[in-house]
Amino acid sequence: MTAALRENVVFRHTSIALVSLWLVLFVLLPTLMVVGTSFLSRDDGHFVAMPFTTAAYARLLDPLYAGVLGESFLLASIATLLCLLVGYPYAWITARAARPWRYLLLLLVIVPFWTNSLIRAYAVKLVLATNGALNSALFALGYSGEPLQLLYTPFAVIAGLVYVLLPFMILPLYAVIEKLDGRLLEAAADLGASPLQRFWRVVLPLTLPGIIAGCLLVFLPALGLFYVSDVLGGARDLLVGNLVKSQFLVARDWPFGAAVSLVLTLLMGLMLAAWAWSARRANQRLGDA
Amino acid sequence: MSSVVVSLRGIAKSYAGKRVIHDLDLDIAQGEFLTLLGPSGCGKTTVLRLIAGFESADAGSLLIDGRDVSRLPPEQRQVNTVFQNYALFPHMSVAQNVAFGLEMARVPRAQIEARVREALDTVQLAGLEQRKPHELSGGQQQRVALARALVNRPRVLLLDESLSALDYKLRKQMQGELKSLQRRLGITFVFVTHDQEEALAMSDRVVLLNAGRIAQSGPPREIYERPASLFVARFVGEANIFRGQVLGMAAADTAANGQPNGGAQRVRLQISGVEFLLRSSTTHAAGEPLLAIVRPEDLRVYAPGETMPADQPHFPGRIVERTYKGMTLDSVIELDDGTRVIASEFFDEDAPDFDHPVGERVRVTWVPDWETLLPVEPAP
Repeated sequence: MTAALRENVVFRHTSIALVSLWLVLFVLLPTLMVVGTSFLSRDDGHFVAMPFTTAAYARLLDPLYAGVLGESFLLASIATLLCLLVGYPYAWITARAARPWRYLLLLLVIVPFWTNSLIRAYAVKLVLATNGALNSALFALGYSGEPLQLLYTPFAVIAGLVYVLLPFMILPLYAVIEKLDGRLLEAAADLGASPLQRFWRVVLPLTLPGIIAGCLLVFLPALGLFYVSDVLGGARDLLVGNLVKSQFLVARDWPFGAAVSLVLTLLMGLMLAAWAWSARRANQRLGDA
Repeated sequence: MSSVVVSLRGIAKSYAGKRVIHDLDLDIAQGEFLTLLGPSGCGKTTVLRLIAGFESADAGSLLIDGRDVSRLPPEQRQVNTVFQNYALFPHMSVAQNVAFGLEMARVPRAQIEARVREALDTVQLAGLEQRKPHELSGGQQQRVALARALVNRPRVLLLDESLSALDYKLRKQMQGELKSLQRRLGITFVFVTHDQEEALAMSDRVVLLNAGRIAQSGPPREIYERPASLFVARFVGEANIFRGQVLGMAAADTAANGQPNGGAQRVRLQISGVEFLLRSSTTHAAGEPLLAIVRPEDLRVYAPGETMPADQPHFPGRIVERTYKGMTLDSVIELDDGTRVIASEFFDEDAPDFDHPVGERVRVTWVPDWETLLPVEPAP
């Protein structure tokens, strides 16, 4: 073994060790602490205390929390669907546009990333507020009724979620649509398929991996984006993320907060696993696994 | 040829202000195997895409079975295409790919199954119904694409450089199969290729395109033996070009090489100081420049010891290159006036092992009347 090769091995081992240490310190340990916390009892002085108990999980079965979970899934689902309905045509136009336009359209998606999403949530608030941009515009157009109460409604939360998360839908869709071979569409037309049939039989199946990826990238964060709901939804706990936050910071019930976040993490993990499984199947079907 | 299936009338097409098709007129007959041949950028693929409906012409009309389809989208035209890269649907099995067109046409389920099986039998792919395109070889994918188009029983089958992705041997085999398939089914084939050998081998008629215009249209033999222009002569096969000057017309009954002739008109052409008496369908004025085009296999090369017919006009030259090609010996000969010509000589029972060593002095001529006379084209 040459000296250079030995050095190389040393470097490799050192870097792997460093990365492993990092993961253990900042991912594995905190997660284990959350798991541990969720099985402890509540204590106002020291946050958590003995004895071990599964009381936190038992509380989760309370219909009140099932309601929060259900409502939160509903809001996230609506936001995901809206992102898909807006994002798919946008991604399609972007992927099919001539080069300079394509880059401009992509840039318009990416630029908001450079601004903190909390600040963007406040921007949505300015638009939707009772004396905000939307109502002002309506009055300028001749509307004379009561100003619309948009802020602090589920609608405002959905609008905020869509605005903040739309790029996560567009980018994976753009990636699959851009790869879609235009000749397949010509072949379908040549064989007698109408535009709708071409979309249904060829485009949709071939872009499905991007649709699923985009939906997960929107749906999963949407469940936890507590600050969007805080800024736009008012005081109610609309999202699971709000529930977790308020248990830790307001109710000071760390075991319950930990239990909620663990259940949420597990649910997300399950959905990711389902996606990975379906993506692998799709890849096998397409033969570029 | 009987009735006309596809008729292009005064078709013009531009991309980004650049004309790619100029005022094109073309009739394609029922049951014909027509090849659109030409160099890349000549517009042959555009013509195919116009017929398929993927492009629309800027001017002119396109008729299929006498009906103007210029405004019809591709899905409403009774033509099917075999794409260059096959464009098989990657998420569908072979059977689903082939069934696609029938499903779109709302053919009853039971019939679809039977017709798919029949189409796959036709292209010898029975047994591969459940495979996915990526599990097939290039040749098999080609056959699926063919079956997917043929199963719809189109009026015209369009093939866009469909064989160019296959290796040499498979291509030869597919050429034969396509041709016999076309004979058997009686469907009109319009085949696009840049491979002149392929075009000559397969077609009933070759339409040679150059820069968006038809350079020549005719049976393969006519294209090869009687090229209408220098472009055609050079594009289809190898061509030796002899530049000459007309000395005058000879009397109609004058014989070339002492042979009696059928009274054809002859022109006295002086090439590099040697006078030839060549058959000509038109009268040429003295002093007019003319080109004599001779195919390499029509050139005759005489080694120093060989005797050639008396009075045969010829050029002295020297072998500068020789290439053994198996069936032929190809020699590059530099004539004494500096012109380089290529001669292709067949090995036959009379001369099974002749050879021309490089540097050998030879005399070059050609079989009388096997040349083609062309006017000198003005430089573009």
